[in-house]
Amino acid sequence: MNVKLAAKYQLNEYIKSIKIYYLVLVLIMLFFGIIASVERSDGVSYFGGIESTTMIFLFILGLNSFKETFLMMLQNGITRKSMFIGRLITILVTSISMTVIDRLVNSLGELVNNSKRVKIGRMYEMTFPKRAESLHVIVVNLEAILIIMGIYIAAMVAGYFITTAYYRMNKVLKIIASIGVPALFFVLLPIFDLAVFKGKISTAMGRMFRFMSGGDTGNPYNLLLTCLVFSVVAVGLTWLLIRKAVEKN
Amino acid sequence: MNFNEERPIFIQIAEGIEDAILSGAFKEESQIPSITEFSVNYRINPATALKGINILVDEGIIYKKRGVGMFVADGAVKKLKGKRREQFFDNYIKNLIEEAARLGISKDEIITLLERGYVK
Amino acid sequence: MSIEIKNISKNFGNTCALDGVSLNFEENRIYGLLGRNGAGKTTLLNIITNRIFSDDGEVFVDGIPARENDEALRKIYMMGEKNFYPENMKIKEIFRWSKEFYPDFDLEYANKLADIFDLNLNKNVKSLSTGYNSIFKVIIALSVNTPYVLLDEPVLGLDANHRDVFYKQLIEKYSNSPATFVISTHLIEEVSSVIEDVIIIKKGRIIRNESREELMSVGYTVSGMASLVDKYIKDKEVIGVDVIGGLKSAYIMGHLSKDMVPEGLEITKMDLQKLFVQLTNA
Repeated sequence: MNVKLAAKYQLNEYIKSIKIYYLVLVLIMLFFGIIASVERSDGVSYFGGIESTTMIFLFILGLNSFKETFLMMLQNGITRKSMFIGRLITILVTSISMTVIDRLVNSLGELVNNSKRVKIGRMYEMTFPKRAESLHVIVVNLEAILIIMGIYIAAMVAGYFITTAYYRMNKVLKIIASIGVPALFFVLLPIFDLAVFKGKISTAMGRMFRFMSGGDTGNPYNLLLTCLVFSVVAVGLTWLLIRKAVEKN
Repeated sequence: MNFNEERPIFIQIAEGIEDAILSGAFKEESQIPSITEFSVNYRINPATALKGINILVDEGIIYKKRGVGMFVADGAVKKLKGKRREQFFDNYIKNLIEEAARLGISKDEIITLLERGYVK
Repeated sequence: MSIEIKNISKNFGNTCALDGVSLNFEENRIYGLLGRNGAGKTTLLNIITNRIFSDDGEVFVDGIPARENDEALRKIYMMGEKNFYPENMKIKEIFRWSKEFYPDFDLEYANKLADIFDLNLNKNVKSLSTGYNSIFKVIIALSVNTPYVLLDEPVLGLDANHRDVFYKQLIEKYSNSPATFVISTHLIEEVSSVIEDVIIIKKGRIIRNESREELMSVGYTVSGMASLVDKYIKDKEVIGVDVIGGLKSAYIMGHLSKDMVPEGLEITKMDLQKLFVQLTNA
């Protein structure tokens, strides 16, 4: 009952932003579509990355998923557990719906676009081109939906986790995390790697990344698994953070 | 009614209603406002208002009709006057004499003053 | 049916905000939770409603442990001094959601109150003045129809007229459909006649917890020449004294025995405000 309420409220928060997002997206597509069809050059224009745009949007949506909602839920007698489960439901619903919508928007774009000079790129087909060509079109669609959904969920969960972690941190910790984490990965680690291990760490990390993303084997399920494992871990950590979260002055 | 905090509010409520009955604002056998009306009007807790009114009910000045409301009892004015007369000496005369003693006003002077008070 | 608070303690860093607080809020009564700023009133209410957690102790709502329990929390509405509603949400949206979260929320009554208070439902929270920030929350608290309503400084920023309207509406509401109201405030004079029970909290401890009438009947002031007063108060529980020249006033807890008052001393009852000031002084 309360989970349902919490989910309903939290979904409502999302829907407003999602509507605006798609409105802007469609306008941009139309704008570039028109430019491309009017343009007289013989080259081919690429319109790619609706999924990566959505991914970033969902990450930001995730980043805005905690403080305000948390207080509103507290005000209305909803426990942390209910609001958390409610949030997970909204993340799932949003990710699944937007995966399907994006797929449809892409297909629609291709249908409308008969100029052949505009190519619409899709994340799945671009990342796993060989596999996309070799499989049946229905399988491709289903698999793409599955993979993209995994990516979307991971993006939202990542945002949700970060914003919750920031809420729990005090000012000093926030500063340390904001400067420390990027500094560690982009400054200290590379220097350390070059100086001590002669770049072995970055090579290994690169290999690991390619494996996790399925880039080396061309197997999309590596990517899906990575997203799911990441999501599960982040969800678990977020729960630990929310369980003890309190209102702050 | 203006409440002062020297005495419990429920007593002041009771006295306020008594005053209204004596002045004829609440006539005998007429309905008086409900507990809710009293408490809302004077911004007091209904339990306090009830307590005040119950004093009057116990004294037979007010009676309750189930589901209808509260009414001033027949003969309430007479009863109240009797009660107030009894209190008159304690409430007024005693204080008058005490204050007079403090100020050094003699008994004869008080009587003269009283007579002056009756001259219009 | 009550909110039972058992041995609640809470520290913020090195400061002790609540120290072994135990008390009950019984069904359908109006409580005054009185204390000076920083005494621990808000901390206590925040713990009851799970906004923060206690270090020790437990809260039960109608027998159900309240910690992270939806069923228990749904029985309580807390109007906090701080705003917990989204800043960009319109008041009418907030009313609509209140109805979702609290099915007994009386939307019609809330709209009526908004009308009485002259609250514009199309404004969002951010654009409200301090007074109206209290008012919209007060309206929800009066319309929400939960068995327990906690009001933390409900008249903050309200002008005299609106404060009067609030007390009037509160009593009307309470008369028509009783619930437990807990009014936390440091403005004692105003709530004095509205509340039935008084809880006085000082530095995180409950120092008084009794009916208003009881509390009022045990406090009185004796004043007169200093030497006389000193003699009189020797064997009494004195909670405070004022001295002006040779005149001394002593605030005493205890029942007054009339015949034992010596000549030359003046006895007056203490009002709740005075009693409170004396009890909570330093």
